[in-house]
Amino acid sequence: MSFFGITDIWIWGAYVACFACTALCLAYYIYFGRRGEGPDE
Amino acid sequence: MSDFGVQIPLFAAMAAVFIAVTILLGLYGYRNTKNNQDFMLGRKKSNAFVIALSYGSTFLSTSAIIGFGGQAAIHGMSLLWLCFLNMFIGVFVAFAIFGKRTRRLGRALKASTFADLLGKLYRSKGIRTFTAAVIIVMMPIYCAAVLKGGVNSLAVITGLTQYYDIILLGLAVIIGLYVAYGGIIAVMYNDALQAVIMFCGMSVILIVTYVTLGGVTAANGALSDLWSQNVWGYTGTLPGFDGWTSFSDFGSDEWLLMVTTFLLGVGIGALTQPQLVVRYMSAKDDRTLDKSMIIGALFIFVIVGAAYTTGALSNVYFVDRYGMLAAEYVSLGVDFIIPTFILDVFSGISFGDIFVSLFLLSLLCAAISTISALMHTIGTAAGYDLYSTWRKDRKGRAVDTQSVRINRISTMVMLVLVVVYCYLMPSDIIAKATALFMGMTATALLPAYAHGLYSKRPRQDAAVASIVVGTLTYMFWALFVCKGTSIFLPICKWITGNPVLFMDSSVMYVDPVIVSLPLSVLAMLLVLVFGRKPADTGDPAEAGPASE
Repeated sequence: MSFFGITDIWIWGAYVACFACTALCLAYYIYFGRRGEGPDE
Repeated sequence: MSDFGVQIPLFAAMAAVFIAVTILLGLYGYRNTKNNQDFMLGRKKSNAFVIALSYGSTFLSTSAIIGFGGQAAIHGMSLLWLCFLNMFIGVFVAFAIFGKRTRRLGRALKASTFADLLGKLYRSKGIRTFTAAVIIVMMPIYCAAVLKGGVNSLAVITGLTQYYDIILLGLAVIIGLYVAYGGIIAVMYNDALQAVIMFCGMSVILIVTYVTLGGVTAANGALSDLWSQNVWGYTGTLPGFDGWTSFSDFGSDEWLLMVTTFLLGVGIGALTQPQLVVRYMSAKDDRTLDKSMIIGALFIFVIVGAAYTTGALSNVYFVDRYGMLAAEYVSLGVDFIIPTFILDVFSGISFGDIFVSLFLLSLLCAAISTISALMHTIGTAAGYDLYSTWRKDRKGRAVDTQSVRINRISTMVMLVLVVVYCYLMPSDIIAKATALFMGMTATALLPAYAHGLYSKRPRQDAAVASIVVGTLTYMFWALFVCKGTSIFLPICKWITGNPVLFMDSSVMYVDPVIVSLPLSVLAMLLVLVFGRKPADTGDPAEAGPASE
């Protein structure tokens, strides 16, 4: 299986993992960011 | 024009505008720094954009762009896993698991620095002093490596090597002044500005690299094909290397170096960076941290991903153009592969001079943003944490000093020490110095930090056991076993005549953090399970700041 010219799953998997991590941060923000604690003061 | 083809007047004009804005933001910080709390944490109202970009640009120095970018040219795209770890551990875990709790506890305990927070969590003057001492002893090495690396690159690329001392001292003075007078406000706003410049510079570089090499699939395919040609002499890799688009053979020397030093050593270390921890404490609320997380992750993905991808692909360019791999063609060393590649690529395109100057400015920004944050942390560790440990009030009780002046003086004194280090350190050590500092703080402090944040009643004896075991085992492995770290203080060579104890074994490629962090955790668990439980003193956050 080739991913933009890269065949080793351990290499293209790293790119996929980076995109997945960005999506995870976005999902976390959407889910928790709006319900999180407001200002302390 | 320099040997590398840099238009000095153009770069000088861009640098002059940049320095002017830096000074203006320094003045803004100075006007808004009314007391010591403002100096250390700002007004605790930093917005998500400033926190994320400040965190990202502090996290990523010249080390990430030219140090590890150059390593990607040698070791290939396997280094992209470090990009993932930087994002997952350095941003997601750091903000979601450590950041929020640190912000809340820091506020409840009225802590102003990382050392202050640990000391108050454990109600221990000793832990606070030790943490401050680690910062004061180890962080200047990291800071000097970043400063030296940035100035070296700038001087060589611009051809101004005869002005090396002036550039070094000039940069140190500018950073020293805006950190000492503008405090954390000036540091964070300047970091955000520098992050935007870095983001623009690295985005352009990635796009131009792929366009020059014929597109994403063609460029990656060409890099894969390079290894199958099997005609290369010097690659700079260890046995087990299997090409720039393949992961090295499991358990080989190359695999050990890649996984233990580059991936885990640096990846885990991000969690206990004192200069990053204060970013959480400066946030207005949890929502700000959540928003910072997504901005920070994107920033790190673009900067680190671009540097590592470009570094690996530079081999295709150098082979096409000069018939040599990057490691062979760039004789100045690994740290000069990325600058050489970029200057060569941009020399043939329209407006190339502007992009080259933008890249140089990005390098300058990467160096300054990290150094300023480190200097602020070192200065407060000396002027606030250490000074507070022996300062007493009229009744002889220990009190936290609240003198901005002392923090400013200690920042300037420590900056002089960093400049002296720059002249004493060996060359080509940016990536290694980064790994050393991050590994040391992780092994010594990560278990104690996590336990202090999440335990209802943090145990001081468990923290001390973890800190002692982590520090001692790290120092032993770093000085006597690991080849990469023993160069900093060659005690083993003085005693045995060899750089490390086991010269013919693969263990010399195993990073100290892989050995000492599990031992540090184990020591803490053993004390927690078998140690005698102290009298219940309650949750430190509920009890408020400790009187010590």
